[in-house]
Formats: sequence, structure tokens, C-alpha cells
Amino acid sequence: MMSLSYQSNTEGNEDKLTYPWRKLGVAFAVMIFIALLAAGVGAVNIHPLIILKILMSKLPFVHIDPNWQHTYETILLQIRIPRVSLSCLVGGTLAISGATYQGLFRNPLADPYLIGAAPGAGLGATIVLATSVPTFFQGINILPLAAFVGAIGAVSIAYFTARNSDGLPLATLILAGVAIASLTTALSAFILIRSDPDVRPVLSWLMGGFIHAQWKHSIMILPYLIPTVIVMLVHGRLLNVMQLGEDHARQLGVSVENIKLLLIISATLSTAAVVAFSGLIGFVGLIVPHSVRLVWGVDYRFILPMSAISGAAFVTLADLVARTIINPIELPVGIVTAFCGAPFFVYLLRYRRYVAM
Amino acid sequence: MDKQNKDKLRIYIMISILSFLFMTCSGNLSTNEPRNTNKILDTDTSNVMPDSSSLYSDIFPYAVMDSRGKIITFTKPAEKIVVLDNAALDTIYSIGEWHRVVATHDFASYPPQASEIPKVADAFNMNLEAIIELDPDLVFVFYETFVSDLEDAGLKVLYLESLGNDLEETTELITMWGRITGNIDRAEKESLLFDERVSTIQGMLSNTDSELKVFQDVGDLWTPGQNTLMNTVFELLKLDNIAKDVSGYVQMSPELIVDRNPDLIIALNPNSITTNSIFKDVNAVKNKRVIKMPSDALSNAGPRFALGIEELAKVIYPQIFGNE
Repeated sequence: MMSLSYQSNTEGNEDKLTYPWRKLGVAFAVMIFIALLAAGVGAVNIHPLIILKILMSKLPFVHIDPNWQHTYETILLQIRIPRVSLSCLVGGTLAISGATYQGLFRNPLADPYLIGAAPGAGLGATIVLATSVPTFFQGINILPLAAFVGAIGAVSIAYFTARNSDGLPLATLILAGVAIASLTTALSAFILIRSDPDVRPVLSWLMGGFIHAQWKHSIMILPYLIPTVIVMLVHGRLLNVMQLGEDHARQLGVSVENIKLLLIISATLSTAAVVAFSGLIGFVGLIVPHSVRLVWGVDYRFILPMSAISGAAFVTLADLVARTIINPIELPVGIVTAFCGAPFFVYLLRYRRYVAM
Repeated sequence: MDKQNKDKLRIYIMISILSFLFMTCSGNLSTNEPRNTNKILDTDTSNVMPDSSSLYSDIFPYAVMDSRGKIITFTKPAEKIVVLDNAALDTIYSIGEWHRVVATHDFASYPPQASEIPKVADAFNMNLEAIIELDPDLVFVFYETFVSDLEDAGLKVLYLESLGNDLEETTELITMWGRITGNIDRAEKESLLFDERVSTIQGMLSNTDSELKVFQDVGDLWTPGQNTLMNTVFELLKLDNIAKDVSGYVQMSPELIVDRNPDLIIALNPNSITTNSIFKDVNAVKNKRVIKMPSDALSNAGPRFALGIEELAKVIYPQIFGNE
């Protein structure tokens, strides 16, 4: 059956029945290390001691005379750390949503953008960036809102197209998603072609990035991420059962239709929320879950949290490269995720004896 | 399913690549790299048969070397011209030869009369049939994609890449259009006027040595660096471009914008700078010197460019240029 076609790569002496908390702990520590590294390095060179002093001075009951340039404080606390925070949240969300979709659709090509979220968000962003629609409405940037609405709208259309009286056939949903994607992409292309020829803002948005990251972005997406990520995390066991096929799962007493609806809503809401502020960062939601599966095996109870942690670390690292490799120029982070991620993934495919789903 | 998913990806990549390609060739709005300077030849045309019956025997024959190195020869004024370039539209209008322009592209923004003539091209495509039907005796383009298609259709094509970073090329182009349209007197007047306006500004600023640090945000923190026409304008206006250590248009690191602390920010969307908390300590924001471009006059390197420089000078140095 589907799930049996994976090679389990669990090595070592650990008891396979106990949950591998230790691996998650180590991965989390690595992620924290990468986040600290990303906070310490940037286009402007700030000495680690000064960084430490600035951070210490923000703690309660600690008084340090601010003998550093005050711009360093802005750069560290208003630009760099918010950016690391946002990239962790976005990377983690894309990866866990990708893992959820791969499990739910039992499709190795599934990623969080599978059923229309990306082209929908892209259309929303293109309308704002490339037409006369004002980017700022009463001082509020409407770009994230447009992207969010676009993503939810496209997925909803695909969902209601595919839904019938028997439930939700997943293959039909994917096809409906592809159709909606083609339509919205064509619309975006049409708008782009008819617009002012300076398409750089649209292009850099389509490639994804964190150049505008602020604290409030992290805070604004948390209300969407906390419930949806918890829903995805607790469905690991049921996703394992779903690997046997929907009919088997039903026979085992799983309410398949409810799970499908709940997981699609969760993955879509969280993806739409992060895409609104980061643009379309490709590749992460596809390869991070696969890499986790290749290295540590097929149990979704483990794949889901491990994907979230690895995704956060991967995207943060990619953003660190994107903003420092050609100082003082910013690269779209999507270029870096693909450029560094693809060779690593090819290596895994080659040497971990992957058998496709 | 594999295939459809790949298709989705492919469409994305296609759009990206198309946009990317277009970005690099739409030089009149976004001059990316230093370009080969266009050599306009007006000497050594002895091998071309002179048109002795012409009223314009002192102008024609006239030869221009295009951006491919091909010599384009004119023996009489071009009567019906399809102009697919904004700077050229501006130039032809300024020398009073607008009646020769029979069609243009969708992005023509100036002069106002541009809205009344047929549009035969957009960002990616050219309507060859419509162009052929107009039976023009010259098609002017600034990118090479369709040059051979047009020539295969038997049309005379002048292909000149957009300007690099040198304002002198603008005056050369005014003279060139004067010759092509047979109105060399007016063109020479306009080109002198252009030089005068620019040097007047230079003269008025000659005693100013306070180098204001400037950052221009053309959208999403993309900014012109070295080897751009905008950088030339900044130098002329005694402004110190904080992105002058890079070449062409780049997306600038926000950390560095804060660190380099510009005194003046010219933004596409001043709101996007002033409402962004990360820029709150930047001099330009603190001193309320985040401005919008006064007009679109600086988007094309035609004669109106001088007006654009004057407008910007007035906004930046009201004490010197007055503010009527």
C-alpha cells in the first residue's frame, strides 16, 4: 500500500515505539542557533558584544549606558530580529502545511500552493501592485489583505467546484485547483502585460521575501497560525491512517470528510496568512517535508512538527543568505531557497533510496 | 497530476522570466546597465546618392548607425513614423513634428495628443499587421525583439537602445530627430535650449556644497545606483546618492538605508516610508523630507527631462530656485 512503499530510514538503537522527542529537541536547538546567527549577521556590521549589550539593555532591571550608535538599536530591534521572527513563522508554516497536504492528498507533488493559494494570492498582489488600485488606503497597506483574500478566494472556488453530495473527491479538488490556478495566472499575466512596464515590484513579490518585515506582521499572523498549526499537529495519527486510503480509513472509523475539511481549512488559512506578508516563497513547502520523510521515516506524528522546525530553520538561513550574499543588494529569498535547497534535495533523493508514493 | 503541477510551476517561471527579460529591455523606464553609446553618424555619407532635387539637400542624405551597428540612411524626411519609445515621442513633439507620428505603444504618456493616435504595441507584443497597414516610412523601436520581423515585412526600422546615463545623448537625439524629420533648425534650437536649462541649474547650484544624502525608492526599495540617468540627475543637483556603490537598479537592504541615513527620500509612495516604523529615526523622515517625484517628466530622457530636473531642483532647494 501507499505508506509501505517508503523505506524506513530509522537507524540506531532507539525503541521505535517511543516518540522521538530527542530528535525534535536537537532540531529545535539547531533552529534557535540559526535564528541567533541570523540576528547577529546582516548588511550592517554590528559587533556581537554590542548586540548583546543592546539586548541586555532591553531586559527589565538591567541598566546599561547606551554607548552605541542609536541606529544599531533600530537595525537590530526593528529590522533584523522582526525579520528573523517572520521568516521562522513563514518557513515553519509553509513546511507543515506542505506536509499536511502531502499526507492528505497522498501526492508527492503536493505543496501548500497545490489547490490555488499561490496564484490566488499572486492575482491579489498583482492587482494592487500593477493597476491603479492604491497600495495605501487611509494609511493602511492593502497588499497583504489583497493577497490573503486572493488565496482564500481561489481555494474556496476550487473547493466548492469539487464538492459533491458524496463528499469531497480529492483528485477532483486538485484538478479544480489546477483549473483555477490557470485562470488566475492568466488574469495576472494579462494585468501585467497591460500595466506600466516597470514590473519589478510584482516580480520581487512573486519571488517572495522579507524585506518589509516588521514586528506587527508576526503579531498579525499569529492568530491565524496558532489554531491552524495546532489542528495540523494533532492530526498526525489520523494522517497515518489516511495513508491506507480513504476507504480503509473510513472502515477504521475515521470521519474522513470532516478531517479533509478541517485540514484543508487549516492549511489554507495559515498559508494565506503567511503568503500575505512574505510573497510566494516556493519550494519550501514541497521539499522540507520530503527531506524530513527521507531522513527520519514516514510517521506523520513526527513529520509534521519536524517539518515545521526544519522549515523555519531553512527559510531563516535562506533569508540570511539572501540579504547578505551581495551586500548591499537584497535577493528574493525564493531564489535562494531553490538554489540551495534543490541540490540538497537531489542529494537526498540519490542517496536515500527514495521510492515515490 | 505530476504534469499539471509542473505546468503550474512552468507558468510561474515563464511569467517571471518574461517580466525579467522585459525589465532589462524597457530601458527608458528602468535603465539597468550601462549601454553601448549610440553613435549617431552625420559624416561620411558621400557613398550615398545625393537627392539633388530635394529642398533639404543640406540635410540629406543622412545616415544613422543603429544599436546593431547597421547604417540606416535617409534621403528625405520621414513622413509617417511609428514611434515605440516615450523619449522619442517627447523629442518629436518638442521640435514641432508631431504630425508625422502615425502610431505608438500603450505606454505613451506624453504629449497628451498621444492618446489620440493608434496604439500598435504593448509590453510584450507588437501588432505587425496594424503597423504594416499604416504603411509608415519609418518604425522607431528601443528594443531588438521585433526588428527583424518588421524588416522582413519590408519596413524601414531604426532601432536605438535607450539612453544610458549621459544627458548629452539627449541633445544628440534631438538633433537626430531634427534631421530625420527635416526640421534641423528647430531641433538645434531645442537642443541648445535643453543644454541651457541644464547648465542654468548647474550654475545656480555652483555655490552649494552641502551634499544632501538622497535615497530614491522606485517601489519596494528598488533604487537607482551608479550608471543610471537618475544618478546623473542626483550628481547634477549636488545630491549624494546613498546607493552609488552599486550599479544599475537594485533592491536595497533596509538595514543599510537606516545606517546610511539619507537626508532626503524620493519615494513612489511616501506613505510606505513615513508609516514604516523602521525608518522613524532616518533624517529624511524626522525632518519631513520624504517627497514624491513632482511629475513623470524624469521617467523619459526626452527634452522634458530638463523640466523634470528643474521641478526637482525647486522642491529640494526652494531657497535657491524659489517656489512659485
